[in-house]
Amino acid sequence: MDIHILFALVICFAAVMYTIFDGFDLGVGILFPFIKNESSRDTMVDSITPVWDGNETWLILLGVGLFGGFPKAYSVLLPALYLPLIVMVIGLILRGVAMEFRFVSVHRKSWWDAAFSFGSVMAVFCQGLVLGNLMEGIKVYKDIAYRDITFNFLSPFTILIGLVLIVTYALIGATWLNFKTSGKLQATFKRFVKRIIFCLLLLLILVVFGRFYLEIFIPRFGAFGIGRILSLPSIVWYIATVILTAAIYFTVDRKNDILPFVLNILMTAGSALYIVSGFWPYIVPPDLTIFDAGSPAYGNRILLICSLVIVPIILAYFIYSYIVFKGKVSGKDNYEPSLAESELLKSKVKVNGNDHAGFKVLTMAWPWRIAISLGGIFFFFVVLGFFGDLTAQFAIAVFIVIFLAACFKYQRI
Amino acid sequence: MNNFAEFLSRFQFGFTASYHIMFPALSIGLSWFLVLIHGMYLKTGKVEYFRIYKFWTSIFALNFSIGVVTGIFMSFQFGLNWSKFSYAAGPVLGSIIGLEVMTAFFLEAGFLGIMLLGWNRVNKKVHFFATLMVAVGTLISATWILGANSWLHTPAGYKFSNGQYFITEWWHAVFNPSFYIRYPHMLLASMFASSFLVAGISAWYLLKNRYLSFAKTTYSISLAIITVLIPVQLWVGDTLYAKMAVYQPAKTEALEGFWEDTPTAPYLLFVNPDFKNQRNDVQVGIPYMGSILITHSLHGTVQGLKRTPPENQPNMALTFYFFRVMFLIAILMFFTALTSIALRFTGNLFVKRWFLKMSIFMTPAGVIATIAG
Repeated sequence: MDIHILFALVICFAAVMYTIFDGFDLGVGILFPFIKNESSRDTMVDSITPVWDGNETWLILLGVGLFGGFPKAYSVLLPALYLPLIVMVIGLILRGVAMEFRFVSVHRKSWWDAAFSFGSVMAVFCQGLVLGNLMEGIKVYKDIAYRDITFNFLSPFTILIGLVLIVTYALIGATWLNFKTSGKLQATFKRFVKRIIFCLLLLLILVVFGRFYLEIFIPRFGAFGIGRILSLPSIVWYIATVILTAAIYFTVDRKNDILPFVLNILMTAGSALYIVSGFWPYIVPPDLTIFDAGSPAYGNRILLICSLVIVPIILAYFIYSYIVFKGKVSGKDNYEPSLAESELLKSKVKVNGNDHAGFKVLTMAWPWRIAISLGGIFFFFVVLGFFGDLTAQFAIAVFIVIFLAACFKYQRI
Repeated sequence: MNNFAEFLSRFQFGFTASYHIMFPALSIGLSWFLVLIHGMYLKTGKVEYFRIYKFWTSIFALNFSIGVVTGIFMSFQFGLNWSKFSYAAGPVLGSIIGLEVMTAFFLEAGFLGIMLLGWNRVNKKVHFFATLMVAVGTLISATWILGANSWLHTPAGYKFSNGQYFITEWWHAVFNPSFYIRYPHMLLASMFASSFLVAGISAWYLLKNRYLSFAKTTYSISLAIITVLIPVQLWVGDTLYAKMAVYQPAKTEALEGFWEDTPTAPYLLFVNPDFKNQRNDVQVGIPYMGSILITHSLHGTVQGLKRTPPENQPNMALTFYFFRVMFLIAILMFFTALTSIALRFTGNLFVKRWFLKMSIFMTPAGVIATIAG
């Protein structure tokens, strides 16, 4: 198969993985303002702390894969979507940092909480704007994106897609939390899932059929224009989405907690695939195809082969990591060391101020000390300066051996 | 207007890159420090090592997260502000960084969760393995990124066509001429950055008479690491300098602050370069030292910036002073290491308050030297 197609598939895979996995941990941030209780909030964040780093790495892979595999698309797309991308990254930084700081902060915890959810919403909305722009199409003129004003990326359609993405992520976040929490908190999320499904369906209906009634919702360049509404993939997608949302709605009250989450993953992955496949054969519709944008390079092939080998390995230890952190999150001491070790931590080890018991001490008169220091300086700056590399390497090796031997003899490290 | 935008973009890139490099640099060193501590804990079972591990993993986690999120920014900003550059260099740099993401970032991120939070969930050996994998990940990541960075300095294994660079020989491109020296230099720099951080914080505890056995252990270990590595680093730095003189003469010329070729050159400490007249208004230096350090002989000739035509000359003041900062810090580190040897074997390492204070003062030294370099 053509190398560009294979590489586009790798990028698609990264995109789908990102939407699913960072989807639910961004979703946790989106749901944050609706949960007021401090310990519930801790539980929510606890459910994603072991995995969010890895989830975000798919985004880096996406960006860098575009950079390496389709440099032309990368150099057109990023300046064209400058503002939403910058704001998205700032949002991600804000939430990543806030997540770490809220655990250690005492007085400003509510601020970090706010930063966490604000950053998440900001990032998701901007991702939606980027997606919306791709669906609308970006005119390319003389190798650069055609744009008349800085805020060209904003249109009713893209804003609508931004909102859809927020709700989509909130839904997968809610089913994830339904899967990972228990008791009263879980009941709250069960309620959330149902409400969010209603919002999502309303928004989707507005996206798909709104354009028949309101002209402002028609995508500008027509990649996802009226012609696609009744095409076969679209109809398959409508049916699948309706069936899957209904399934989530009715299984969320059952005992099996993981089922709604799995269904939700299927739904998100399906939608992502539907959208991405809609771009074919373009990477920046409506002007740049993946064959125009790709680089027919040897390095590309290496990257491709490596990704085909490495991605399964990555998936293997990802799955392992999720298995390690399986089960419900509850209470405070989720990830702390076992009791015996924590007890050890509390036990006081008695140490006197400047006590050197147990150390053999080398006593030396002060002229010796000065002589040794000066000798060292002389050694390094003059002797090593005038002699060749081999002498230098040898002298350094001798020094290290003598030093370590002396450390072990006179003072254990 | 255009120039201003370019200046802003350059400034943004310089700022974000320097800001970003702080975190990975600390991460590499700290992760290996943690591997050492974790290994010691498993071997001896001493509570001290456990305590140290807990304390430094929390700092490592914070540091790592900030490294990841600023890294996202780095991966996007090539295209955001340097669109033409990313179009031309994408096939090379993108491939290298892409491999970095796949081989290193995922490894680090995948095992970080287990390393930080897996206490109850995996057995001790798997836990140690996770710590090790995170450290290996930081190392692999440094390999690729330094490969990409050195490629920009000394490109190899590529061809230029249609306005784009293409890799023709993969390993030549990654392991390009200056990689071999630049790589250990950067790795050692990150070891220093983290060791001085550890030493500074333990010195602070020692001065305040708190957590003494904890502080003594980390203080001793970190200073031992510094002592062992500083001569290696000085030697590597010296070799890198010689390589740089071959591949990028303009840079070494600017670093030394001379305009004319100067035999028996002094080592300049202060210059006030006058770009228009191609000379220094004021210069102060130590006699003979320049020739000894650069050419390794008493009367060697140090090359001047006039060898490079003015339109290609780098900004002398900037390169000169950044290099001076790095070099002076290296000397200070060297002094710290030597003093610590003397104090260690006379049993004064935890006693001499001036040395503890100096260690605190030296805490950011490694980071500053890394950025300046």
